[in-house]
Amino acid sequence: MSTTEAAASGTTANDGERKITRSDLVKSWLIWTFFSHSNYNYERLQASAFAHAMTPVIKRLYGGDKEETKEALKRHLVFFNTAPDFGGVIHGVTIAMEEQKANGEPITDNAITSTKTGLMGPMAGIGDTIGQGIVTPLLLALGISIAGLGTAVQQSGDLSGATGNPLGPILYFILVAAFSLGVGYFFYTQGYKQGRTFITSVLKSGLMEKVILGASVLGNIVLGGLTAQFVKVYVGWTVHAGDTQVRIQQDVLDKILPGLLPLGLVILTWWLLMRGWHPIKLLVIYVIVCVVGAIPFMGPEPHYITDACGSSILQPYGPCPDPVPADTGGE
Amino acid sequence: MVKNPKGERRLTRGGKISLVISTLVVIIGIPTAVQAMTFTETEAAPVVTISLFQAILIGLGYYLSQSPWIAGLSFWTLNRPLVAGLLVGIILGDPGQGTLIGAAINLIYLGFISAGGAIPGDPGLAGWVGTTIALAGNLNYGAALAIAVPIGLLGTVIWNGRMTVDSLFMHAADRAAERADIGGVIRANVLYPQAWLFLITFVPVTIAVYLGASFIGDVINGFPVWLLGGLAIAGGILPAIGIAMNMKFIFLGSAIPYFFVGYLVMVVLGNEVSIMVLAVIGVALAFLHVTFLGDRVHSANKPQSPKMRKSEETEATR
Repeated sequence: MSTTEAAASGTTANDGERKITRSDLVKSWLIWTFFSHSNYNYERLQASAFAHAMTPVIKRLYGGDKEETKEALKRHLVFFNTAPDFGGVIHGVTIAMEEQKANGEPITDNAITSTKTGLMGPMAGIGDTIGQGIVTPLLLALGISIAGLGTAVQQSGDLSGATGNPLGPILYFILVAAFSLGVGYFFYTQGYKQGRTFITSVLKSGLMEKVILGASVLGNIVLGGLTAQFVKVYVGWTVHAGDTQVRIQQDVLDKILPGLLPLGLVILTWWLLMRGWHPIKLLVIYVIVCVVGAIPFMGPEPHYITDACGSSILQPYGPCPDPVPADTGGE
Repeated sequence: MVKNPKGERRLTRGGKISLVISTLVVIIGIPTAVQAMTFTETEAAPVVTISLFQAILIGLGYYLSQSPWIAGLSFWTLNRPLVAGLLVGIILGDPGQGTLIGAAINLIYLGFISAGGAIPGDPGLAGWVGTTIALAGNLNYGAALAIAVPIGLLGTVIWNGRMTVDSLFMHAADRAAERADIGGVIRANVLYPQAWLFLITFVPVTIAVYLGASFIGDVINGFPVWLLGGLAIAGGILPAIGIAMNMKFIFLGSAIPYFFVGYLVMVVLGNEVSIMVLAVIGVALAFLHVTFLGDRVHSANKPQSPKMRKSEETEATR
């Protein structure tokens, strides 16, 4: 009953041509934006989300035809995983292909699936490099700085009574949301407009490789900067050679290259990760090393959180102060 | 209109549900925020006790941080300790300090990256519960991080439970597709997994926060000073893991030297400069690099995404 209804109205509308409207496209984008990770699972990752995002399209193109609807739903319930924002281009392309297929062009299920699988890797590559690799850490670092987690707070170590600036997280929220939604909408609609041939030709032309390379250059600079700003290793170890005290950090390591330790630590971590170490394993090891490094076996046990200097190998909140005045130390 | 009336009605119903939930968030969230903001002007009392209502809000917040209802942006926003810290602060009546604690916890997850569904700790749980305990127990910096790290690891259990059980709903979607039941596919993508997610996020977090936050805070406050110091040291060292995880995908080929450029520029400028300045320099250098490399980009080492890599990892021997 509804089959004939839809078919009849379809024929009267546009000479039998089935067309996706703009609102279908926007609806599909909204569904994908909201629910891309709603049913994220180990078996097929974003598969059901993809099928969900296709539902406005399927209704429009195959509305009422049970067999076609079934085939279309099954077609989109296959393994899928990509970046939720940049990956939207794949949905756009798929919608365009579905539209052509519904209008009788010889596009097989296989062609649609292989287009999806072929594009999801490169788009995830671009999306992860730019989204997770650059934009998020960058905006987070900005938000954290505005929130006021400066060296002052870290040095006193006492968060009680200290207040941060809520503008930091609010600004981060707005910027990251604008970025994600803007990019998502642009790629979704462009994918539909430009279609498969254009997208694959762009991917083949090497433009995307240039974008990824440029993004990695920017990403490396940002990560380098974040390393300097936020990775802190302070050595409290002091060697007594007769009358002279040699502070390992200030008098030796910082003389070689300022901030040698954080840089070395990050490179070491990177090297271990590249050799297949699991990040959680590293995390546990690092915490243990830090706690062991804080055991005050070389000097008096600290009474307040900042006076660990000299009694343990590692110390929190900043380098040891210069040892010149002996009377200004305590409060 | 070429609309299938039946299907159309289903979709709007789904839209309504999401609209209702989003509206609820706003209706509950904004008055709470306003109330909290007005309360804290003169607030200086150190001990925060958590009421059942606050615990429920925190549990709800953690659920939202994993849910699709914030326009799918939760992963970028509520899941980050920086944002979670502010919201917990608002709920517990001290937005300023909440922000600060959230920012401190977020340092550990600065370079956090989710690769093909595998996560190294859950920044969301660390942010929501970690900030709550830190505020309730009036913890210092080291102690706040001390609690955030294990909580973040615990969060991976929730995450794995979700990713595993969600696989079942894929089969519900398959069956619905077999019946050409569009509504069934939508339910399999939204209703069942979200009900399950609500169960494994909201319930344990609300109970844990209501019954345990002050207690855990007290226990941690009983730690010796040197141990708290050690955990604060970890707070300075752990960002290295997140940064290195990101480097795994971009610290490659001809882009490698730029890491050292970024590092040394920041060190030489004494960490005083905003990261945005560095980003602008980075854009300029990226443009120059790509332009001068021209078509030889192909031969340069291609960076790989975690999601691409994931499929390769199954083949590679670990």
